[in-house]
Amino acid sequence: MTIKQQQLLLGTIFLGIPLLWLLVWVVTPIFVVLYLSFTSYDILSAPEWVGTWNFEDLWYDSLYWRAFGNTLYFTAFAMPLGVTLSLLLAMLVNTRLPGAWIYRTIYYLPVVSPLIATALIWILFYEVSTGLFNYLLRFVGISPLPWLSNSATAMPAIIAMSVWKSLGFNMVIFLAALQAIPRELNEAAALDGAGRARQFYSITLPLLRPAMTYVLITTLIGSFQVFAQVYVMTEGGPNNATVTLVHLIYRTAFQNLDFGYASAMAVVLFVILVTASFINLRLVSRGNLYG
Amino acid sequence: MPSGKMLAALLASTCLLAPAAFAQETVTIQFWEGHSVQEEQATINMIAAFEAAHPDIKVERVKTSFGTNFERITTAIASNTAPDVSPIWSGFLTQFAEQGQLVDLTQYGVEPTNADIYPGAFDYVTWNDGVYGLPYAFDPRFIVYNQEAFEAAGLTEPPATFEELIEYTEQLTVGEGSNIEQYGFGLGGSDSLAYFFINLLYAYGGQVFNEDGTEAVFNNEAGLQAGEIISRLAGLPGATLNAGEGLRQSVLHGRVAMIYDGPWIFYEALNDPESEEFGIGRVPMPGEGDQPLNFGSVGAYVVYEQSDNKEAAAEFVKFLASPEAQQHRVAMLKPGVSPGVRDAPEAQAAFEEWPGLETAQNLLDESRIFPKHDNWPSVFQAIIPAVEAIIGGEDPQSALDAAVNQANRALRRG
Repeated sequence: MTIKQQQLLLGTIFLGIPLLWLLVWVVTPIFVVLYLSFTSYDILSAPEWVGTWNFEDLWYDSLYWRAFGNTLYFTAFAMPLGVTLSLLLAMLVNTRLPGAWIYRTIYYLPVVSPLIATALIWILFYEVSTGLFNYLLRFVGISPLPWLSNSATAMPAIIAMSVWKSLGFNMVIFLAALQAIPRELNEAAALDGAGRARQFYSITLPLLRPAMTYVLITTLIGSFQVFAQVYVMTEGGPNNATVTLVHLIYRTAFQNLDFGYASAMAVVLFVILVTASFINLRLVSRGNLYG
Repeated sequence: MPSGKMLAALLASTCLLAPAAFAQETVTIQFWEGHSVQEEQATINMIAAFEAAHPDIKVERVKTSFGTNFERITTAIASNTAPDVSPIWSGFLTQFAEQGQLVDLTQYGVEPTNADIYPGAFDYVTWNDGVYGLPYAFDPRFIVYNQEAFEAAGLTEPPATFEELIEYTEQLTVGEGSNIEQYGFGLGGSDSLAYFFINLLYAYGGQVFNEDGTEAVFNNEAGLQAGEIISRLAGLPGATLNAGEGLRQSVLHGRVAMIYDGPWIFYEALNDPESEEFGIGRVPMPGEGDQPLNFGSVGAYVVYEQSDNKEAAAEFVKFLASPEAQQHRVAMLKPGVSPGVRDAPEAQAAFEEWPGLETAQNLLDESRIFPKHDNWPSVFQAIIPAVEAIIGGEDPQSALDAAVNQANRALRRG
């Protein structure tokens, strides 16, 4: 076998395995879900073709729109809050302070902690009579709040937990991008009289754009797919105040055994995410890095 | 070898092998269960008793998560890898039976009218003239009250009517505003809320579905009356409704004077040596002298059509519902599904130590389960937010109307 043939064989193997994995576990399920969305399917018997009925029904389903609204609410707060705070944290741990690596580790710890375990611990934090947050409220003379059983506070409580959980991951991405910015650029700007704020807006932020694009898109997708914390902490309640799209898809599929309808919801979510990611990509990565 | 010797050798080997060939083959059945620690121990004891009585059947117990039990079962059925036996709750039994996935146990000697099991629980497993499982759990709901709190308030008995429930809640509340030291009444979240509403709905003579099960009608007069009671309770500062975890601990330590709960309280008390004395009483009714009625949740063991050992599996399920097996459940402080369990030695010992448990056992005579309907899970999901909305201050009529619309939408989807 010639070297070229060997290279071709190795290339095929190394590329073929992940491609096959992607085809079997990602691409095929997408098409299966697309097909199921046009059927009535309860998993126990064969799917029955119903055309666009599931999608038409979706339009008139108030619970679906409630879940859609809740997901937007979650995304609208969790995304900007998460991105801003992780950028601030990255800038803080990027300084040459002694022991900065300890902070990096501490901030990254929630990322590697299992989500279910974390959510269970946060339930204890939110507990009405013995929880940490109500203890702090009582400490400053405020009445305790039923964080997870009140329609007004349940979603903010989940947002706070989710932001805390994902902060470290985005921080690491930003940190890597910050460390890749040549120090000379800031030094030259400082010599020209640019202050810290000016340096941040004219140098740091534009050079962070590739990292920002990645963080925004992954955070957006993650926010639209919020599930585990809702499942563990509130089960969508109270009064459907925290039911989200993926939680509703799960309930529809596995509790109501209405897999066809759940697939239609999943297809709509897929279209929303692809569209939003595309718009995001176009907006954030528009123009060159130096504006 | 001469033919005579060969014949003798063949004869000898046949004689040696014959007993093994005629011995009964041991059958192994796979049993998936997702029980709590308390029920798991009872189940282990039941399996040991079954295997001792049936040496030809081995039970392979596979532990599954309680929460994800149905995901596993449904996907296992779809992939033709279902176990022989598993527990089942809620509307899944009727749904699976309707789809022909469950074995009708009448062909294995189970009578369509079984006097050995409480009628309220047995009703759950019957569907279209068949019996598609046997109950293993029947947990009545009742009022648990802290005796010290009651004595301090000058009360001796739990409330008998809904008016008394409201009155006692106020009477038992200690403190005011943001400094309530003891709540008068507590009710758990999610499922507990829906069960409390259904209990009240039944007590007022209402139903969740219409006669033929084609429509949800729990926004009827009885539903509204039930909603009004919940709304009035929610308006009391001393009622903590939709409370999270820890409600049982609260009543056992006097932070809440009474709660709507089930037999789980006994196990909680067993594991808490510091717990205070508590009593239990039936769920209040609209008026004095009304026929008592408690809501009871039920679970059943079923045999799957995919099983290769249906007969052995049916034998196992029949045994688990018997007083002989159910006494292990009572020993772990849960009531048994068979009235005959009262006479079993282990159950009698448990009743002697825990008199409240015997009261709970007796409540099963008057307990009713949730409606038997293959779309029950989606209707149940519509009831929970309605009750949460009422607790949140929404008008009961509009909350229940919205829930009925959502439920009927699910029913129309089928």
